[in-house]
Amino acid sequence: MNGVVLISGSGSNLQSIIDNSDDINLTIDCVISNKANAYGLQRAKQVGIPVCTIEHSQFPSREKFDQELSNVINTYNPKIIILAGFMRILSTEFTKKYCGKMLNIHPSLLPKFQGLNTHQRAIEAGEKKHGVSIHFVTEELDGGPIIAQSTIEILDDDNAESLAKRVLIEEHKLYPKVIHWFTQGRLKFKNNKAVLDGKIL
Amino acid sequence: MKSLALILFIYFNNVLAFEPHTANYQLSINGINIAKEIRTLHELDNQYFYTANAETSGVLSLIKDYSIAASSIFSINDKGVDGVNYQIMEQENGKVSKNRAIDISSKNNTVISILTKTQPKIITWKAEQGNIVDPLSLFLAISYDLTNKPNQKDFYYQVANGKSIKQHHYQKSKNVDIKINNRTFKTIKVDRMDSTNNKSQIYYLTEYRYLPVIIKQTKGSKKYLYKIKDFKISEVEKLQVTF
Repeated sequence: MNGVVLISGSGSNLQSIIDNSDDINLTIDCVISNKANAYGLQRAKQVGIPVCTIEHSQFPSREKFDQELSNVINTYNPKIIILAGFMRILSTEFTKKYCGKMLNIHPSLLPKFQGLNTHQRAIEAGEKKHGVSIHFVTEELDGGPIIAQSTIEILDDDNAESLAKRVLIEEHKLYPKVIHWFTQGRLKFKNNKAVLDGKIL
Repeated sequence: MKSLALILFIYFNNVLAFEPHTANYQLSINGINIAKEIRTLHELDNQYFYTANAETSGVLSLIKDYSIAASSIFSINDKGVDGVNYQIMEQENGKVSKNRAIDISSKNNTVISILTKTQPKIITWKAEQGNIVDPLSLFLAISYDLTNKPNQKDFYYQVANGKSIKQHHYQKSKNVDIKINNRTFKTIKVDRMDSTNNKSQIYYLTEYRYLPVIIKQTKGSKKYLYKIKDFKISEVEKLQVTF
């Protein structure tokens, strides 16, 4: 199955997807970043994947940026759109276009800690558990059905950095697995719900 | 530590308008302790990310599992604090009961809602010219103006909260010594001037870039009191203060 990956930063999740792409039947047609200095672009170039930068700061509104992003994505006609640390809230129009084939990974146990800086916030809130969630992206900010979560314990001596490292390990394991479900046709989006092997998750 | 106990050393980076920090507040309503609230400020890519997370504490937490999380992304321009995005989410017993999110653009004079389960329509509000803040960044907008406009007494803000945009007028009133855990601190009191139903009094610590230490709000018959318990600059070795 062909797809595109959207990133904003170092692209460690992108790397785990690239490393597993053969095993999960995924061909990455393009890696798109909203930041020119995102290291993930280098990771893609190293393995010959085309890259594209669309600087969000060059656009007067979210809608205009999303329109350009959509134009680029559509040139590849992807069957799956993978958000891997893409740090932008997407407009309703954009998410409607790709509803059912756009996945996102978020470093918290949703619905807790939407937004940024999730590890520090989880520690400060006195949470005992933390983790990562993968969900379909829908037009509602909180509406995308959760497909899978991986949970880890927050240790007494954890700080944001140590916790992030341990969550990242889970991210790198979980995301390729979920993408594989999708490329196999086992994971679908039906009636605003995530369905795996015919069962609502 | 119940009193001002530890100042390792004070370090303020003059380049940043705000110093990233974490502050813990005790929230009481009509004199009853209800929740603990943690506010954190971080800087990222020339913008600031300010969050407030509160959940029921003490005996109340046994009766009701309730939490509220708000986050604000804002930048600084020549007029002061300028909002970018705001979200507030309430959860009861692990389920989202309210979730409102907005994109703020002072450049376009607009505030646009983001769809959520509890906000099923996109609404666009037209704002007046000038900066727009949200209910969270408002506190730091005042801090910023107290720091950067020391001779100014009256401050006006457009505040968007996902339901409306309202003009707020605040006035610097007087220096007040306040006691927290038997220690006295110098503060500046700021009053909201333009609302009889929503009264606000905020006490800003004259040290530490006018950090809000006490926030009193009256909404109808309910009196909300946020009182700071401690705070620390993000890198602990720089500064840590416990009240």
